[in-house]
Amino acid sequence: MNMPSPETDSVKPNSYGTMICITALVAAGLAGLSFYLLDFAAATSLTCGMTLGVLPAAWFLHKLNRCQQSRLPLHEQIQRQRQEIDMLLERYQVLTDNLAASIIIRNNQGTVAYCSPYTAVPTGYALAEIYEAEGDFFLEIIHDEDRDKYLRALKVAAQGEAFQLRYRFFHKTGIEMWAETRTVPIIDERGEISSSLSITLDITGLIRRQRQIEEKNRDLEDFSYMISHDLKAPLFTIKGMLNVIEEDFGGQLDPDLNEALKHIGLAVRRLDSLVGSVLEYSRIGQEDDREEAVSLSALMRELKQEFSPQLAKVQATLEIESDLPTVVGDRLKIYQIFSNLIGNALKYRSPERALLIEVRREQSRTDRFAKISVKDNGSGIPAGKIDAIFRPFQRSHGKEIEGSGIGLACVKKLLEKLGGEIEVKSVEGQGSEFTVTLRSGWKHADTDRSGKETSEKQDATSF
Amino acid sequence: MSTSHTRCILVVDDEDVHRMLIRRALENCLENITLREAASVTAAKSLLIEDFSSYKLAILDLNLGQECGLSILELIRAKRDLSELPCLMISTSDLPQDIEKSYAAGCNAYLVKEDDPKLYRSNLLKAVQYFMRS
Repeated sequence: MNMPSPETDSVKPNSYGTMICITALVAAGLAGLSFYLLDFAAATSLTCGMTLGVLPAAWFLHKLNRCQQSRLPLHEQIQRQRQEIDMLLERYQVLTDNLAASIIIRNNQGTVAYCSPYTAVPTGYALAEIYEAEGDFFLEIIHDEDRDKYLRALKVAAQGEAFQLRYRFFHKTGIEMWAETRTVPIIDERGEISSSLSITLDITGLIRRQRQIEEKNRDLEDFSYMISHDLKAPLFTIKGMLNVIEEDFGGQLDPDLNEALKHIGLAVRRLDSLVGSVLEYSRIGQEDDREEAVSLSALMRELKQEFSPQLAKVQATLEIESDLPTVVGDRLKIYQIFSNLIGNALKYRSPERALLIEVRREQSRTDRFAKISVKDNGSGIPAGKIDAIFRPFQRSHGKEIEGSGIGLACVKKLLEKLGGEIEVKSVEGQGSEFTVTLRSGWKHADTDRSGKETSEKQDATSF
Repeated sequence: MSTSHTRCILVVDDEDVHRMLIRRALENCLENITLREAASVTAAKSLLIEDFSSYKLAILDLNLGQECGLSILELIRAKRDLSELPCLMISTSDLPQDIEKSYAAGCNAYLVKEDDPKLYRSNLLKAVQYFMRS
């Protein structure tokens, strides 16, 4: 029978229990801190945050439990627990030192009690300058117009509530910066607010990008307005006058003059089509996106009906696979995309054979996206022109085929708006195959390939 | 000055040819109707004030060079004696924002100057006949 050691004998149940409780509290506190840290880090990876934040605490409690159950002498148990706490503290030190976010703990007077090293990056101030400030250092660098809301938010935290705030501040060099901060109160063992924890991200890049987008949208609106009014009005005048001449003098005109008027009419029609296309292209970015489930089978049935007179006219066949997927996006935009691709296949058909257009579902690498191909046996695209076909006003064929050269540019822009993409394979003289990728799930930051959220996320440098 | 029983349509468009096309579209189709034309906001306001009771319809171009046809529409809607006057906005623009702001300002209908002049003429005639009947 093992005899208990003197150390073990001297252990009082109460002090042992207290020690376990304190250790558990420290662990829980650390786990809590990790949760807060990783809640912000969730802007880049929630999964990673969960792994880093919860697992160490769980692991620690598991170890603690094992220590409790073991029959190790108490001093060894304490030493092991201390080592484990030290290891955890070191882990959190590494985390706070390297996290690209500013972590600040303020005491109840607003003075900075802890400030993570990264804070120096977006502010431009040395940590010593931040610690030495009397009162809240950030009140010294905050933009005047945002000071009041910052103070109001701090009062909220002092009352025990969390807050999230976006504000401007000045870098040491005087450059205006933007920050988004989340502050939570820290409650001590007596249930009183002892301090507050703020985690702040530098969102200057994001704000700049948002402004650029707003400016670009304004420019596009101005451009659309200019085309709709200033370009279309003189065109309408010319068309109107041509019509007047035709109505009033149609049968009496000299043949040469008649010929000249015919050429003017054709040129005006081309210009009209070009103006309409430019307007259509410029308007794509301005409209709001709708999110809806779109059955491609139903959409293709509509398209087949719409194109049936043109298909019959040239004895073309449009074959649509029966089991097309349901995708997510703006139905009208998706309709425009496929309408454009089928219209192009009809336009650029080969004179040597009957046109066959095949719409099929393709294998997608992930179930978050669906791939659909539109393949034709038309005249194909010359190898040297494939790269340019999605750019506006680039045409792979000569003027013998009417068109403004904007259709595929519109398709690409529409797909960018929808978070999808398009690829093309083509052999001149044999035909082309356009493969469209569309979202098959609702828009989410990590599924959006080219949408706003993803860009914003990339631009939002954290500090 | 027209007498009180004269029925007038106010046509405001800064483009001479566009006004001429309206004139051609409506001539011989509407009996006892006088078209009164203006090329600017100021001229239109003068015509309206001169004999407001004779107007049965206003055809207003949305874009009047540097001016905006909506200012005439707003004046009409604000003036007690004219506020019920039907107003037909016309424009080469089919931008949703132009259509929305015209209806928000109180127009009764918005007609796009279609690419096809014949279609425009036919649409214009139908709209004018509708408003003159009512």
